[in-house]
Amino acid sequence: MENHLKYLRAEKSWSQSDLAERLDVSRQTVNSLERGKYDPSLPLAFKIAHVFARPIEEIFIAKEEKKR
Amino acid sequence: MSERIKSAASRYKVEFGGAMVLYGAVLFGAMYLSKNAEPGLWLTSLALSPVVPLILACIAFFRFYGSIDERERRMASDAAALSLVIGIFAALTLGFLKSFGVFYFEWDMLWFGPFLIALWSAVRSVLISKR
Repeated sequence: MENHLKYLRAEKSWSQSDLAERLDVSRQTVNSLERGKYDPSLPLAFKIAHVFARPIEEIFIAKEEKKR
Repeated sequence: MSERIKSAASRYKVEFGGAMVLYGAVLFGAMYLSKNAEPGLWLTSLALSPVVPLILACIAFFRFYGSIDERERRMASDAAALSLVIGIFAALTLGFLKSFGVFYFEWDMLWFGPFLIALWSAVRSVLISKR
């Protein structure tokens, strides 16, 4: 799964630590999410969507969806 | 790292470190006291006394496990599963070598726990570097 986390975070001028604080996760987890190394659970994905005030599908893109 | 996770990590270091120091003290204390002890309840108590600080260490670990985020929890669990598989294969390999008389490795059960913990730490470090 890919995501726009890095761009959304840059838009808000937040550091990875700032976002980690808002999501209550470690900075390393934010880094892994941004690099697409880790796919979040549904509750964390909802939390991310809430933090950026965007629908989940605007933040995360399934690989199958991208191929279409 | 969020402040909550940071404080949980600091608390874990203190609790786990304290339990390990206590483990060392109890282990050596029990070994010293057992020298002149007769077989019986006292000696059994001495032999089992190092388990108490280990239980404290386990409690500290599980408290920490409950406070880390989902990715770290996943890595800790994956590392535990992988370590178990590696540990089983290592035990089977040594068992086969011993049964066929090729190689005999003197293995004290006392080292099985530290071996699994060291293996878990190593596997977890590899997983962290990969993810």
